[in-house]
Amino acid sequence: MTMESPLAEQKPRIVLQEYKLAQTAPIAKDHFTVKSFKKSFKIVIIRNEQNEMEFDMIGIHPFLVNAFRRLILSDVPTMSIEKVYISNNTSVIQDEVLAHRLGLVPLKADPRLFDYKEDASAESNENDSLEFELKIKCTYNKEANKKDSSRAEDMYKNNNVYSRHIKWLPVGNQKERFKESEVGPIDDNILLAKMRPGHELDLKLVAVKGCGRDHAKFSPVATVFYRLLPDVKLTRPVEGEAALRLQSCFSPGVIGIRHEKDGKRVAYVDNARYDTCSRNAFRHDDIKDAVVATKIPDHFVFTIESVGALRPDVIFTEAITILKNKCAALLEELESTG
Amino acid sequence: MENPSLKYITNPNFGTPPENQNELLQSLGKPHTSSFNYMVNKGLDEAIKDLNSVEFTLNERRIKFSISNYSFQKPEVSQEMVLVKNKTIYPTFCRQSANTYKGRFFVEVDWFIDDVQQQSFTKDLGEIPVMVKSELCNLHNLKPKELVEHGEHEQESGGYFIIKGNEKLVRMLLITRRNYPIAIRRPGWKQRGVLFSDSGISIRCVQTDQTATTNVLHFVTDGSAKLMFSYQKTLYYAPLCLILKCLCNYSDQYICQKLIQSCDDDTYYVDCVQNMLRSVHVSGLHTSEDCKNYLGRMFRVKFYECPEWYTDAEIADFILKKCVLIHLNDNEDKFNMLVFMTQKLFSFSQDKCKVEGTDAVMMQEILLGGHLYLQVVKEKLYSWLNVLKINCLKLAKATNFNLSQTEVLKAAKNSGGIEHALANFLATGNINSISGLGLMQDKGLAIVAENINKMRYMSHFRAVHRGAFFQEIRTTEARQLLPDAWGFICPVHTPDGAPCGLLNHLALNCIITDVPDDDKVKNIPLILTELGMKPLKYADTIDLNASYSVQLDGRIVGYISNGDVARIVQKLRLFKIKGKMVPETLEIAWVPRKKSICQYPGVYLFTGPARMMRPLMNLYANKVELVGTLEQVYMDVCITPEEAYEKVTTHMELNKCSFLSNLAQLIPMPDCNQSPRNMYQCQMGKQTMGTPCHTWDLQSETKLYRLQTPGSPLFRPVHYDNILLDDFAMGTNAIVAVISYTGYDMEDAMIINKASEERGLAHGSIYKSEFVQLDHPDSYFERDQFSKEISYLSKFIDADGLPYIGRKLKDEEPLYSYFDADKQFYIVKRFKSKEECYVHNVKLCADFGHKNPKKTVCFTYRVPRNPSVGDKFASRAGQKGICSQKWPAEDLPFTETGLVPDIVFNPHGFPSRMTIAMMIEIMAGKSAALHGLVHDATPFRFTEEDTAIDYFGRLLEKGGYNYYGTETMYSGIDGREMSVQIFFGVVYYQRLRHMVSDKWQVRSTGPVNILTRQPLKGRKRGGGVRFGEMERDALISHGASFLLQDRLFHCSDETTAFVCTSCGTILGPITTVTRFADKPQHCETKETCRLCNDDQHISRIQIPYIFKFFVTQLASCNINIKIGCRQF
Repeated sequence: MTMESPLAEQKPRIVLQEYKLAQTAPIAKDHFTVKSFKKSFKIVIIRNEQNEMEFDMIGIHPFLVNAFRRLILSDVPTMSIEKVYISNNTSVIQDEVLAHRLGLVPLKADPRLFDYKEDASAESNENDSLEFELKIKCTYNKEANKKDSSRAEDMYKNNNVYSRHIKWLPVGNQKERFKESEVGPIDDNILLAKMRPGHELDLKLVAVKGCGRDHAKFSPVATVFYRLLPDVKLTRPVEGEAALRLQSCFSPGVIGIRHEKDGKRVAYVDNARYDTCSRNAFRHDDIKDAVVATKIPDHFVFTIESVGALRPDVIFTEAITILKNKCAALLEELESTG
Repeated sequence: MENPSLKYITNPNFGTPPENQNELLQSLGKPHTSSFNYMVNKGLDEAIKDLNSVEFTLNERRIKFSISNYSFQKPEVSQEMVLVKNKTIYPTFCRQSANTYKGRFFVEVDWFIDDVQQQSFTKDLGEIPVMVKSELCNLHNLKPKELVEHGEHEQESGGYFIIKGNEKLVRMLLITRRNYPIAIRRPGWKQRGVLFSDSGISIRCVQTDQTATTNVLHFVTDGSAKLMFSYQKTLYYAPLCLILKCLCNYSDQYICQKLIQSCDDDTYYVDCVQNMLRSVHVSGLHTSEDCKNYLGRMFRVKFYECPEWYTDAEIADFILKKCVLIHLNDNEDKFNMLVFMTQKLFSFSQDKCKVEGTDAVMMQEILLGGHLYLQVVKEKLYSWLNVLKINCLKLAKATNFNLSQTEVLKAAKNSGGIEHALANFLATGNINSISGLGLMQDKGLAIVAENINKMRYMSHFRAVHRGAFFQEIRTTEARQLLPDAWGFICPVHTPDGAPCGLLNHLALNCIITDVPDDDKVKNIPLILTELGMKPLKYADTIDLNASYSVQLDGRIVGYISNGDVARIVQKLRLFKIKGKMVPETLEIAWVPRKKSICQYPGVYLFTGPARMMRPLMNLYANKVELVGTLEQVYMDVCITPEEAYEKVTTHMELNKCSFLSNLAQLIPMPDCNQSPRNMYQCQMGKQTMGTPCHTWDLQSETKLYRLQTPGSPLFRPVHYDNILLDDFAMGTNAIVAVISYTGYDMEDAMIINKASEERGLAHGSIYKSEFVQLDHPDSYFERDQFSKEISYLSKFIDADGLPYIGRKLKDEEPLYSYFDADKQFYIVKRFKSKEECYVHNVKLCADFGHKNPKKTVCFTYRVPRNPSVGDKFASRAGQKGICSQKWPAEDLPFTETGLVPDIVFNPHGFPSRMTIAMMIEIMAGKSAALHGLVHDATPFRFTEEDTAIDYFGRLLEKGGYNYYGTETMYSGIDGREMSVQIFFGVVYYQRLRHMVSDKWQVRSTGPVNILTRQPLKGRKRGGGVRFGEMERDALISHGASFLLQDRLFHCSDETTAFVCTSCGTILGPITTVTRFADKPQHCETKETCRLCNDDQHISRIQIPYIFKFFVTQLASCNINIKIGCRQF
C-alpha cells in the first residue's frame, strides 16, 4: 500500500514523519475571502464547562485562530488587585511580596461592568474599582489544650491567612449593583500568609480593570491553546504483541484492540482526537510502516481554561468583540488617512 | 538515604527543630571547633608550660617573671554593667550589633627575686575572641531547639569567630606534614652556603603545644652535612657532627658506628662520616663539653632572651631544646633521629632513594584555626611578659624603687593586654610575629565566611589553601592535582584563574584528625614490642640491613625485621580498627623496600592532630578504617567489589563519589558533563541567590541575597537530601524549551517569559544593612518636636528620630534625626542611594563594655530585585546566561498541551559545552513532574548498558510524551505548527547574584580628574568606561575619525588654549584682564605672548588638556615644545 491511498480522498494533510513534517499537497494559497470563509467555517463545541471549554474550529487559517488565542491572553480584561495600602503588617512576609501575592488572587467580578481607570494616579470611583480589606490578627487558641496537639492549626487562631479573609467594601452604589456573592476572590482557599500570635495584617486593597498585556494577573485564563486535529490510519493490519506495542505508542483510547474470532488480537484506530502525536511508533522498526499519523491543517481544537472571572465562552466572544473593534479602528484609521 | 525523595519537605513537621543535629552538617565546623577545644583544654596549659620566662637584672637583683596559670572565660557582659539581668552573651547579639564575640582572659604571674618566689598575682589581659560552638561558647552542646531559641539556625555548626559583627574563619592551610623527614631537592638551597647542594632532608618539627619549627639537614658537596635551624626567622647552619656531639656525650667510635650501621657497604658514606668526625676535632673541639661551649659561645649574641648569667653550655642546651628537633624532648631521641636523617640524606644524595617533595598531599597536613590561634596567644603572652619587664625597668628609673609587690602590680597595670592583638589578627588575617610561627606567610590567614547562600557558606569551612606564597611563583608544581590526593582533595572543586589548584576543597568524607588520647599513644610501642618489634636498645642484636626502622611521630622506637613487617603491620591495623588500645586515627605507613629506587623505606606511624584521613572499608576485617594520606599511597583500594583482586586489594571505597567535595556532590550527574563544566558549576553554585538564612530579622550583614520563590529540585543527588539543602533552597523549577527563537537568545542569552516573571519566577530581594554611630556619647536619636518642618519631617521620621519600618525610601529623603551634643542642635540626615528600598528594620545596638557608649543604630533595607533584562541565570551544569528579553507569553511558542516555556534556551549552548547532564535533567525533570517523583542524579548510578536517557525516555513514553523528550510546538507569533520537534522539559534554574542594577554604568558628562581633566573611572563616582588603546585601534582601522575625535577629545579633556603662531608655544600667551572703573561689571581680556611681547600672532585652538599639562611638565625640565602653525 502506498502513502496516498488512505489520504487520497481527503483535504491536504500534514504528515508526521519520523524526523520532520511533510504535506500531502501544498496548502493552496487562496486569498482570504469572507464569502468562502463563511461557507467553509464551522465551530463544533465539544465541551463547555464552568471553567473549561473545548471546541473545534474548522476551515480557518492559523493566523485567525492564533489571533483569538493572543487576544484572550493579552487583551480580554479582568479585575485584579492593583493597589495595596498597608496600615500594618507585622507578619514575616514582606510588604511588597504580600502585595504581589494579593495581586495574583483571581477576583470574581464581571469586568464588563467596569471602566478602565483613565489614569493610574486618579481617585478611584465606583465605576472603575473595587475595594477590599484584609484585617486579621493571629492569637493563641485558648480553647485548645496545649498537651493535645502541637500542630499550628490547633494552637493558634488565624495562623493561616486565606483569600476568604478578604472582605469586600462596596463603594458608592456598588452595594445596589452587585450582590455580596458576585464580588470577591474566586477561590476561598488560597494561602496568602502564615502568621504566629502577635502578627497582624491590616490592609486595604483596590482592584482595577486591566489586561494581560500589562500584567499576567489580569489575564482571564490559566491557559488558552489550540492544536491541529490529529488523525491516525493503519496501512496494514497489526496483530498480536505488535498490536499491544502499537497501542502503547499512542495516548490511551487512540488504538483499540479487537479480538478476532480466531483469537488473534488486531489493532484498530478507535479515536485519534486525543493523540499527543508523540511519534513513539517510529521507534519500532516493525510497526512504523503500518502507521500514518497526520494532522488536518485547518481543523483546530481550541481549549480555553478560564481562571473563573468569566465563563470561557464569554471570554471567547469578548475576544471576538475586541478583534472587531480593533478592525473597525484600523479601518477608520485607514479611511481617515486616505 | 538511598534515593532522594520529597519526604523531608513534605513532612507535616517540616520546620520544627529536630531532636539532634545533622552529623554531616556538624562535620563542617568540626576541625575548627575541635582544634579550638584542644587549645582550651590542653594546648594553653602546655603552651604556658613551654613559654620562656622573662629574666633580667634590676638593681643588681635577678628578676624572673613567668606565667604559671591562666583562665579563659565564656563570653559575658562585664561585671561593671550592673543593670544587666542576664550576663550571658550569645553570638547573635554580636552579629547584630557588630560586636566581637569574646571571653575574658586572665593569667597568673609568678615572679622571683634572686630565685626566691614572691607572691604571684593575677592579671586581666582583656577579652579575646571565642570560637562559636567551641566549649567556651555559650552555644556549646545546645540542642537544635535551644539553638533556635538563641537566635541561631537549628543546624548551626560553628567553627568561626565573630569579629565586629563579621563571621571570620581561620583559613585552613596545607602545610608540610609534621615530624617526618622529607627528602627534598630545591635549587635555591645551593645559595645557602659554600658547596651546598640542592639536596636535603627537611623535617617540620611540631611539639605538643603545636609550636613548629623546621630543620633541614643539608648535603654539602664536600661529603659533609650541615643542620639548618632557625630562630626568630633567621636561619643558622651547624655541622652535623657538632650537633650530634652536643646532644649526647658519646665516643666518636660509637657515633661513627651508629651513623654507618646498616650502610657499612657504602664506602663513600663511611669515608664521609669519618671525615665529618675528624673535622670537628680539627676545630679543636674534642669532647661533648667543648662542643657545647663552642655552640653557646657562638650563638650567645643571637639568643638575647637568655639572661647574661647563663653559661655557654646552658645556652647550647637552650638552642638544642628550642631549635633542634623540638618534637623530641630527649636528647637521645634527637640523636637517633638525626642519625636516621643522615642515613636518608646520604642515600638520597646518591640517588638511592626518590625525592619526596612538599607538593604531594601525602607529605601534607592542615593548619587548623585553633592551633594557629594558640600560637598567636602564646607569642602575645610572651610579648606581654616583655612589656611587663620594660614597665618594671621604666619604674625602676624613678626614685626609691624597691621591687615591692605593689610596684610590680603597678607595672602590670600599665602593661596592656592581648585583646587588641588577637582581635586584630582575626579581623585582618595578618600576624606580626617575631618568630613567624613556622609559617610561610603572615597575611591572609583569616577569611570572612560570606553567606551568599548555604553552598558558599559551607564551602568556606572545607576550603584548604596551599598558601599565599605559591600564588606568586610561576611554576605550576604546587597547583597540580597528584594521584595521592584522591579521596582527600576534590578534583572538581577549585576555582579558575589565579587561585586554581591552590585553593582546594576537602572531599566530603575527609576528616582532620584531632589530638589523640595520650594513653593510647603510649600503648603503641608496647604493642609493637609485643608483636615482635626490637626496641631501640636491642638494635645491636639484629641485622639492621634486613629490617625497617619504626618511627612513631618522628621518634625512632625500634626495628622490625623484613620478615615480620607485613604481619606486624597487619596486626597493628586490626588494633587500630578496634580503636581500644591504639587511636583510631593512627596512620600506619609502611614504605616497603623494593629492588628499584623508591621512597626511603621504613615504618612510619603518626598519631598527631591536623592530618587528613578518610574512611575506607578494610576488606580483611570487613570494617571501616580511617586511612591517612601517606598510608593510602601503599594500599590497594578498589571502588566496587568486582574490581578487587584477591590477596592484593586490601581496601574498598565506601561510596563511589566519596572523592568529591560537598559542592561537587550537589551537581546533578557530573559524570555526564565535560569536566570543566563541573568546575564552573562549583563556582556558580556559590554565586546563586537563595536562602542564606532564616533569621532575617536578626541579621546585620552588609548585603544578603534572598530568592523569594525558591523550589526543590526534581532531579537531584542523594547528597542534597543528606545535607538537608531543602532548608536553604536556591533555585526554581523552570519549564525550558530548547529552541532558537526571537533572535534575542544569541551567545548564551536566554529569554524569560514575561508572564512567568510577573507571576513570581525568580523574584528576589537584597537586604542591605548599615551602621550609624553618633560621634558624641551624649548625642541621641530624636526628632525635633519644635522644628518648623515638623509636618514634613514626621512623614519620614518617627518621634524617636528613626525611620518608620516598612517605609519606601527614595534618594535624598530624610532618614534619621538626632540631637548633636557637641553642636547642641538637631541634625537630619538624608538617605543616599540610587535605588528605592524599604526599611526592613531598625536596631539600636548595645555595647557590652562601656557604661555610656556612643549611640549606634543599624538600618536594614530591603531592595526588591525581581528579574530584569541583564540579570544572570544558570542551570546546574555550568550553563550560565544573561536574560536578554522578557518576552510576552502570547508571543512564545506553546505545546500541544498548552504549556508555554518559562525560559527559552538556545540549542547552540549544547554542542561545544557538552553538558549532557543538563539534557538528561530536561528529560528527568519532565518525567518527574509528570509522574510526581523526584529523580536521583547521583553520579555513577547509570552505566553504558543502562543509560539515563533510556530510563527517563521510557518514563516519558509511559506518560504519553515522546521518548526523546521532544514536543510539537506552535509558533506564538503566526500560529503555525513548527516543522521540527522541540526539546522541552523542566530544569532547576539558579539565579546568580550578578544583577544589572548593581553594575549599570552610564555617563554623558560628569566628574573629571582634577589633574588631567579626563573623566574619572568607577561606577560609584559616576565615572566612565575606559575607551582604551585597543578600542582606539578599532576605530582607526574603521576610519571612524569623527567618532574617534568625539570619544577621545570632545567627551574627554577638550580645552581651549591660545597659541602664539610666531614663537609656536602655548605657554607664551597670557591673558590680561582690564576692568573699567565706570563699568565694574564689564571687563576686557587681551592675550599677549610673554615670549614675543606681541599680541598680533595669537590664535585660539582646541587641544586636549593633557597636552597642555604635558607641555608644562616638559617646561619644568627646560624643554620647550614648538608647535608649527599654518593658517588655512
